[in-house]
Amino acid sequence: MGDGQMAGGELCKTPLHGEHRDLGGKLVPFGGWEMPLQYAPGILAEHEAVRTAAGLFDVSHMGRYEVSGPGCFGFTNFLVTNNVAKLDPGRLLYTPICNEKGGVLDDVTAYRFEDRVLVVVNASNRARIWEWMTQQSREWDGDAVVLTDRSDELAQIALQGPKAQEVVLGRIGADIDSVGYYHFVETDLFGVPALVSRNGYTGEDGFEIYFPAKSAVALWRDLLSAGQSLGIVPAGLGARDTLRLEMAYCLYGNELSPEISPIEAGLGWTVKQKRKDPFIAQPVLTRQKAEGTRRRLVGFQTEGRRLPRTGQDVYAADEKIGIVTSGCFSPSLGHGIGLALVGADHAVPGATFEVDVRGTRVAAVLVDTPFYKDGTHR
Amino acid sequence: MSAEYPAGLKYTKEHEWVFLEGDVATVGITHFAQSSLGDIVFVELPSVGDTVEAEGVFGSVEAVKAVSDLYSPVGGEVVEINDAIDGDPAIVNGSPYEDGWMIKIKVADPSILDDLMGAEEYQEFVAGLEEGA
Repeated sequence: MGDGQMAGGELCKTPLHGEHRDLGGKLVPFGGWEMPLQYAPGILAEHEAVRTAAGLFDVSHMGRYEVSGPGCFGFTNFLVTNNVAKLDPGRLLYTPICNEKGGVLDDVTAYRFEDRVLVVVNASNRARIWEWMTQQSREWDGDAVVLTDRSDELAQIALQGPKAQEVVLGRIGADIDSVGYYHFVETDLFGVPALVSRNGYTGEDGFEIYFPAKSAVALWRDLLSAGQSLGIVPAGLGARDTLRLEMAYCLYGNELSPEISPIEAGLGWTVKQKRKDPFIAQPVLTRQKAEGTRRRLVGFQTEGRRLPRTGQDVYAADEKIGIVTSGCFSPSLGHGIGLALVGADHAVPGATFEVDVRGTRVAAVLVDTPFYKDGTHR
Repeated sequence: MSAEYPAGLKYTKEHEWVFLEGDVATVGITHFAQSSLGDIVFVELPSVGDTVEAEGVFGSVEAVKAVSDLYSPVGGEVVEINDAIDGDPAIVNGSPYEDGWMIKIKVADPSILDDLMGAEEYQEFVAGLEEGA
């Protein structure tokens, strides 16, 4: 059940696996799944296409869990730090799910329907969150809830880029222009029934599209073909990572883990500590917001040929002050960028420090995020 | 022999190639290496006049998502470096055996090349790695 790993340690495959192979995708293991890291043109070309035109990502490896029953809003809200219950139907939000200590178990999007919630979880956390939700639902003493794993019956595609809307115009049953940022609509796309939300993980305008898995190949091909004259390309995990890092969006396993709180990770805006209905980790996160945390996530940039990478140590003079959680070459900016979890004293604008890049100290300067400021998301 | 692994070159397990002409060895990375790394954005090379050791690190390659040290197949003095890579590191991806060569070394002991793989052997070596992956 949503475990993201088949028996015998074999990697899971999405309904689009054959398409990725046929398109020349370089397939790599990711969170128990075999997914395209990149296609033939490479990460830089895919990144550029998403910033200037459009890119198509298969994100079917993510988990899709439905919460229904009369207690669905109260129960989901108990699990998350943000406030799903106050959302109008047709809206979604981004939220951490924390353990009692305030450590992040996953960061998810939650879609608010009239009568249910759809929780979309990271591929690597599918089993953990399913278990967590099941366990919590047993102990839940509010109105009844029903949990349903929709992961296998639904495919999920992200269409991202300034021309994303142009790709679907005329092929979608809804007035898509009127669907705002973090809103969704249930409609049809190329004749396929689909849930389409305006959000993403790149900083550009675009959509997440959920639809029956049996239509995955047809819709994937229709979207690529409709966007061809606009410059659409299939894009892999590599570009997904450089795009999100330019926006300083957290990646689970890097910036977020059970040992890191959302306050430390700079996600304080997703923690509604004043909510009247209690939620898991409310006391500890309320305290962290009031008193601050020992560590803070910061964005930094580097110059020169040596690029910061995940796991490298961060120094201020001879004192180790933290660790790089993500680092890469920023294709849009042309230099190294990274996120680091450092001692809160050092998290001041303009602070300079050094990253130990494989034995060489590389100067880094703390900068405002997002690194990339020209995104078209709305 | 496949164009991916030209004959006449010697290959290392760290995926460098070397071509000896007189006592000067030209060194670069293989098709397998550039393909595994993906888009290369920086290459750090030694300076002319530096000494490199056989099997020693002589530089590094930074790709968007990965980094790799460069190991010299031979020891000796660096007599030339490929300046073109600095302005356009993508040539290492596009032309790893020609335009994307990295350094030329005046070889102290040419016999060390005898221990390296030929094209056929290297191709088998790479095929083994790809199967294991």
